[in-house]
Amino acid sequence: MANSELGTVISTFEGPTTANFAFVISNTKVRKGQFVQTQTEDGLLIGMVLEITRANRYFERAESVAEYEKNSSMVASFPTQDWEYVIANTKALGLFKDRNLIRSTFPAAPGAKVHETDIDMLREFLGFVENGLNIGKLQNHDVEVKLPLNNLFQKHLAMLAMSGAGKSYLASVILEELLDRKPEYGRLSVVVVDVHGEYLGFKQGAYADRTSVFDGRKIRVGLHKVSPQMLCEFLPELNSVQRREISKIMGELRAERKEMGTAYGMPDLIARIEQADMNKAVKSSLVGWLLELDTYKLFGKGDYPIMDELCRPGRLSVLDLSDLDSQKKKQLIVAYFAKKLFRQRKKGKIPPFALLVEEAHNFCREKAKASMSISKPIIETIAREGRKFGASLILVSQRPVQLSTTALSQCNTNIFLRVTNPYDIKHIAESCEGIDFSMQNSITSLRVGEALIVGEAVSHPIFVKVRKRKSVKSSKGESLETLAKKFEEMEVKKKEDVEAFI
Amino acid sequence: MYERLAEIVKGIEELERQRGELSERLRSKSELFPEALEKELTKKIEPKKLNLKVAAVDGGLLAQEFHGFDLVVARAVAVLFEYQDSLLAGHKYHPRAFAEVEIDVMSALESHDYNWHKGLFRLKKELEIACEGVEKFEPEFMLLDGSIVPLVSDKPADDSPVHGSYVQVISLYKKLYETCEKKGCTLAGVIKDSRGKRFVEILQKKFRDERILEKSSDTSLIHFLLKTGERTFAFNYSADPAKNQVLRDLSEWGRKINAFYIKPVEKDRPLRVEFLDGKHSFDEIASVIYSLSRINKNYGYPAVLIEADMRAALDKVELERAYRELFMKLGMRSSIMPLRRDSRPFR
Repeated sequence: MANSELGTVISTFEGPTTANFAFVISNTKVRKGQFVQTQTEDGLLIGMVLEITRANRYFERAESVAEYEKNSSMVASFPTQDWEYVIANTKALGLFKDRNLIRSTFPAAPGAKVHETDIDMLREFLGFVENGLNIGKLQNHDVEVKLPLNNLFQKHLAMLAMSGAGKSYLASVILEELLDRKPEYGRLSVVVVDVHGEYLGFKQGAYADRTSVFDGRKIRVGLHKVSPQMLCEFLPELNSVQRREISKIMGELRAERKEMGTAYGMPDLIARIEQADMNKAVKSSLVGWLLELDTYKLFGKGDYPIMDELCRPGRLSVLDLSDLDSQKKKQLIVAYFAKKLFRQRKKGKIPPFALLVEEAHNFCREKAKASMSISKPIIETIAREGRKFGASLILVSQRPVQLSTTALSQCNTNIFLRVTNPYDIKHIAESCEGIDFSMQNSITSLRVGEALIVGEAVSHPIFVKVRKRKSVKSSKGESLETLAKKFEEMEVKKKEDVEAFI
Repeated sequence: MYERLAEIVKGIEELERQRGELSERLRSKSELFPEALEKELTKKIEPKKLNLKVAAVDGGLLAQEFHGFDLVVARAVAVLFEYQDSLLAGHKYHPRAFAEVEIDVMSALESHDYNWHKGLFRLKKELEIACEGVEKFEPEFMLLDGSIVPLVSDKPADDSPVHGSYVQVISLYKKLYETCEKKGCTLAGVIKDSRGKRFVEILQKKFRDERILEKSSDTSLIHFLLKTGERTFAFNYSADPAKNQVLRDLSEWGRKINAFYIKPVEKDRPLRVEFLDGKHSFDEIASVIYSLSRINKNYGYPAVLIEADMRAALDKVELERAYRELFMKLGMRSSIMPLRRDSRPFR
């Protein structure tokens, strides 16, 4: 075997078993999370190092160590280094046979040699493909993590991490891979709900020609394209009588304007309600609700952007909501365009798409008032049904505990960056399959730029060092220090301009 | 029970008080003691910058009785420490760092024969390894964990089936003495928990009326007598080697076995050091043992012997492994059945 030897399988009270084995390390290259292999009677057994324990009998008793160290270093009195040994506790993942991973049914033999995993086999074993999305390097191995598009997106992707752990950075890397994808491999249309303006950098540099940014303040929803049912979803406070009345009036208005070949807007709808013959209280409530909706300046006579602009293969559309203050308006935009994307995709009118929702917990909250859950139903619907129609979700969140369990559990691939909040960790463990206790612990200790990928996209959870992004970083993601410096520079310039003018 | 405990406490306190008082009196006098090999009762030891090779041997033993035989597993390891300016500069092992265990089986032994057999089996291993260690490493000092002569309790009755082992052990002791002499190596035994009374007996010859001496062992008295960094006078292992049951078996070597006690550290008890009269003076021997032992104020013991002890120590697993091997080859038969007391149905 050409791969370098790492150690020897040992016999302990716990094993080796078909599920685990431990080996004593003879090579200091072994690291936690590393994949290893050992030959068994049934074939090549692949394992992953779960934990490494370093022991030395000379340093077991604190009081003795303290006392001996008072005179001189223990190393100067005893051959302590000879007593050190390092054990790697390893999870047996299975046998790699005929390019397939099969369950191990016989343990590794005590005394068997453990080696580094063969790189090509590791790629195959983990399910990396040549035309996959390259998001970085497999930790402890010189292997590029190239994830297959189908496995990564078809059953949705969740990216969970605390603030500042590198979610948007990793999301940008994934977007770059989607944009760089060749047509012959199949390209998705990518729509990003950008609440902080973190993806605006795509409009500069190498991806400028493939990126459209839509300013949230200019986004419009053509009211005539909003069905009565959808409008009722936008106004969950309406009671059944109000719903019935508004549906009737919208139906009439719609039919009338269709015949005339003109669109209608919010003022038209309000005027029609005011003219209608209905209970006064109902009328006044409806008008009140609609006036409130109108304050968002979202509803007009046509959509902006239109679907053809929003959704094109191999292109990125950024819905820049960073200048919007109202969370409800943001939810209305997401709800409307997500519904539209999904409906059009079902009809095959637009290409398969991936909808990336930043701060997804604000759009698909597990527990929230009806008025703040406007976008939740459609996100959950895409999560449940999107797979069949080529509609994929990328949910990005720093508060997994607040994210809809329905949506999260439908995300068959999860990418974790550093998460430390114990409630979030618990929620992740409950919502995501394939997370064991050791991985839960690992999530808390990931460094910036390190990610744990679990689920459909990989045949076994892997730790990844995220690659460098190629796209331009948005100025909205600048550091606090830079922002403060820029502000003061701007103030000085203003003052100079004023003085110069005087 | 509490009354009895109070009495016991009072008794122990009283004994220690008397030992303390006697020790003070002894220190204030400058008596000459018959059978002492030096004039002074106590002597200050000069610490020594260590630039030498010191070897040590220790053995480990586990045993279990079965219905048809007694199983013993043992191993011994020699460790060599090379010091430069009192710092450990190198170390070696013989036969290797993790020596293989040796298995022995005896059958139809009486209980006391079995006890002798165990002790002798381990001694044999230790002595063989010590001889080989001196030959191989050529150290200035060879330290044994314990006495450098067999204990009287190690000597089986002449008609015992294990008497032959004792004869072998005596022969190995002699061989070790010869090898040490030939190689210019000082053989010393360091006894952690000595129950010896030879030193007290020497004092008794001068102070017949001191009743506390009758109730003291050497170390229980010397703990009060010696200050840190001191030793007692050296003395012969026995007043009359020709009459000593064990020393007489060692023929002329029996006369060359000496001992003294040292107190290397403040918070530990004295160590008994036995040594073969030879190349190094009493002071030199004391200096080396003292310098090797004074690295932990709570535990005065040479580092090289600590390492040897760790290397030789046996885990119960070794015994189980030996049993399993036998079981696999023999199968279940009456001989291999554990004793009833080891296989009770409910505990």
